[in-house]
Amino acid sequence: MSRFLPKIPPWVSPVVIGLLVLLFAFTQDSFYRLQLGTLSGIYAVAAIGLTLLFGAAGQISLGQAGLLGIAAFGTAYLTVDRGLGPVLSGVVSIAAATVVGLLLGWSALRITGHYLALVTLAFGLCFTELGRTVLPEGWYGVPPLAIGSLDLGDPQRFFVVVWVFVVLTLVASSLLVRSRFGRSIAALRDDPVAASACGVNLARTKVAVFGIASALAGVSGWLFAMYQGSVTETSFSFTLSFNLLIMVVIGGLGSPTGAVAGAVFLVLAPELGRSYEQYRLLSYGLILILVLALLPGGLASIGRLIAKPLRRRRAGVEETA
Amino acid sequence: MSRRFTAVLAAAAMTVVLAACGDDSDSGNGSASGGTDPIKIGAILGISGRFAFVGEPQKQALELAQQRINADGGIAGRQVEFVVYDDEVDETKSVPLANRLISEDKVVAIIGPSITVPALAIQPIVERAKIPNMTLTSKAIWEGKDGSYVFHTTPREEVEVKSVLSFIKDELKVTKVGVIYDRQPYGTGNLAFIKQFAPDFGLQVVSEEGIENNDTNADAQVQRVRAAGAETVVVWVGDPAASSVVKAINQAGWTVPVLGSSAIAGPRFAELAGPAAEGVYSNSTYDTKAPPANQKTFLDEFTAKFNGPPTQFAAFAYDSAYVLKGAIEAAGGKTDGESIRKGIIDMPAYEGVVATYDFADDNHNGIPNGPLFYIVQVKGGKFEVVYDTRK
Amino acid sequence: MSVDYPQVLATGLTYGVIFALVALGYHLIYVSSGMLNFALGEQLAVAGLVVLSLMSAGVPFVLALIVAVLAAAAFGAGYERFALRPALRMGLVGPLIASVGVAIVIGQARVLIWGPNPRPFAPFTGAPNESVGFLGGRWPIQSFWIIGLAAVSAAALLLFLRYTWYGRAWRATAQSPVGARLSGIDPSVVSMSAVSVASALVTIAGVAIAPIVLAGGFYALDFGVRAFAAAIIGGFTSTTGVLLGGLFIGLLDAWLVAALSAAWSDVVLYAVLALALLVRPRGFLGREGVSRA
Repeated sequence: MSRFLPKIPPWVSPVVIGLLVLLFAFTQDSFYRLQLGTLSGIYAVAAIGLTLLFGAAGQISLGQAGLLGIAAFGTAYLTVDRGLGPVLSGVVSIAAATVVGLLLGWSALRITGHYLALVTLAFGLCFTELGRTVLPEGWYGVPPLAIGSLDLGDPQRFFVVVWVFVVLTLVASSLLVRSRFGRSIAALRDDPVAASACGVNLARTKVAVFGIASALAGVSGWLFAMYQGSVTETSFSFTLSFNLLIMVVIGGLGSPTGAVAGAVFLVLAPELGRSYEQYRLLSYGLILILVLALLPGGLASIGRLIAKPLRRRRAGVEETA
Repeated sequence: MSRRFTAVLAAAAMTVVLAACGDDSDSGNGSASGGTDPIKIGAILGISGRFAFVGEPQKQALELAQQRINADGGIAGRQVEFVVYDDEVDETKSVPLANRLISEDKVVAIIGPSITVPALAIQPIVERAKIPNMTLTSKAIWEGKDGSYVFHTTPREEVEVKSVLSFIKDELKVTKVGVIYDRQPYGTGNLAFIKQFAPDFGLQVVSEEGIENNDTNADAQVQRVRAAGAETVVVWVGDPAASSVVKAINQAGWTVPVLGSSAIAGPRFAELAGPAAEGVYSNSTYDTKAPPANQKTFLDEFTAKFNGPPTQFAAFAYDSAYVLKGAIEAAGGKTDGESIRKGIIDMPAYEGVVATYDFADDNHNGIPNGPLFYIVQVKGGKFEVVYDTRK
Repeated sequence: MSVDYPQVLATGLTYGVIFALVALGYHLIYVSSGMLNFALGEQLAVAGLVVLSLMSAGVPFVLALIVAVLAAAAFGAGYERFALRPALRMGLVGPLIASVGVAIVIGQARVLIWGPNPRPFAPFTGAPNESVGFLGGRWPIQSFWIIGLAAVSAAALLLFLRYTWYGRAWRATAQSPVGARLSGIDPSVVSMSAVSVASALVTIAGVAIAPIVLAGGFYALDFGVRAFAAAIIGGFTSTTGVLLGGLFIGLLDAWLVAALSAAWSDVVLYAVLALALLVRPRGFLGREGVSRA
């Protein structure tokens, strides 16, 4: 079994990312860059959820944006219309998103693959349409995050808060993937028949993974509402679901760190070519096609390709399983 | 796992690239008043996407303004440069773009956004950064606060609504109004005003039907409006929906006066609606019969430069540019936020292309709240002025 | 609220045959390779623009249509080979995502080349907006062209599938890829040609509907999702099913818009799609056990 143990301890990447984040936060005086960094962190949380769902568990969802939207709408409504505090609103909204996600997970019990893709797509579109019909004006003036009297809405502080969530999520997902539950998830993707023969409760696992992914999407939506300050359904269209999918595919399916890399890439990419703004979405489509065709493991697999010759040399020594 | 390691490496590389990239591009202009560097004014416009018919002409107007202002000697001796970004009418983009304009491009003022939702979204940003914002949406963004940095160079929504209602009452002389409106805030907001002011004109809204800007089938809405007994149809949405409504009315064989908002007052409407466009009314601030001198110059130069006349929205953007010019010159060439803000308020009334703009401490609405529009009608495929609401 | 049923019939049939054609495209591709193709909607939207451009270069309409159809077929084969099939490495979900990528590329290229504004397209005969009364409703003259063209295309395709060698090869692959290969049929050729034919069908549909919905509008997703709903309800694996499904969705959509408002009709339609997927994924006429994913 030691073949499955990672060569680099699981705490390395969160720590590295954490250090980079702190470095970034305290050397950036550009408000704009901080905002970009914050946004990539927000999406990273949802992307990690999707990579667990899709990459680890093999369950596809084209409607994650709807879950983000539910949490964002809930947060906006509770803070702006009801005057609840941001933390309490967050808890309620994230719970709401999770419940809906669990329902989606339940539906995944009956259908798989393509049909699941379509159901999640239909859900996402339904949410957008409902939002447009019932609440086209959306909300403005969602207050920035504050816990009691501690103001965390300041751009620098909020940036750190968001990335704290990212790092925590990374740590949690690493632990998850290594746990028994994590192996059930992998079994779900790789060989459901064998897994259930070994006593893995597939149904519970499936639903649970959807729950996790939607909870993370909910966290993302909550953070987004406070980041943006204004919440309308335009922010949660199919384009966002698609973008999250790209992040996950580019970053490498099943790799939470890859998802983070994908999120950072997607948010920053426009910056690298401002004058080519009109080609941005076009290039995303092309990149997606190229990655799928040539590099299904995403960015994270580049290492594997390089390391292959190295690993072969080591394999003779390492093989103990 | 080497997979994870590479991913970390990739993320790290990206952060480093971002951090390194252009942080030192700050050569301290924008807030400095001296030198011969160009004055940079930012603009966030909805150039592509659903409201391209608003943002694209605005972008063109700013191109024209930049050309003219610089040819005439610039602002306080310095050339002006408009940094224009497309937010695709998506406030998720407008917010970072506003931030970018302020902290990266170091603009001294921001024109736009073109539409309500993005305009509301960037309001806290410009207020906090103390950057004057000439907002281009008709919805009231400025709430009457003193010291605010937000200014309107567009008429308030009610003005256009009242223009339509007064025409129905005085000229069409009917009382039952059916409204087909955009389901987005552009339509829903104005629908609310229509319902609010209709009684003042002795009118009654008998039917309200929502439609999406991109819809090309309006049969159901038209049929329901007709069934409700409407004597005139007010259409508050852009194209292609507006032309679809008119085509549906035509196909249903229903003869009824149709009033569109200023969203359709351009050549595209007749192009899309074909013969069904004949006789349709709309609002315009351009006097096609006898335009005043500077309006005529603007219209002629725009048409020459862009092979076609401007729509409504272009003029307000153009005027905003000139208001900022006047403000900076009134501030003695100083370009920090507070000075420009004071300049906008202190400068004498500016006679723009379509209106005279005057700002005060307690009034950030440059255009007075009275009637502004002409009612125009499609005759032979083009809009012509038929009624002046200002009288 | 009283519903104008004759008008619902008119609108429903007109749009319904288009949904049927697109659903037929999904069906062809799905049955021959198991792939779901999200790009057909965008191909529909761009069809009218291509023909318009050809016509403005002086090409007569019929020739322009033929060229556009052939070009679409070639393009379809191309993206199947280079975008969809390589993605199979990731499992059947790979081509699905890749097709979303292709859809995005087509949509963005469309905006770059032709601009964001949809363009008017002249009806095949008659003046724009001309319509006739028929069965109590008003039918744009173009409707008859649409229905006629769709019927002819579908019939031609069905005959082709039934009586030609290619058709037999396709059906063989559908039933058993392994068996087909053993018989000397190359499934990858079948898969590629399925996308090719589907692209051609969708292009014909797109040009036919362009006079009504304008060429190059933002309706790719709307049509695409409704066609999916048609295929789901009719059954992805049944040729008759997808055709009937298309008509059903067309009528349902028209009825919903007339009975509720346009706003709620979309919500209900998507909900119906979700429900159909949950309750009966194989559709009414589909075969058992072909989830294939």
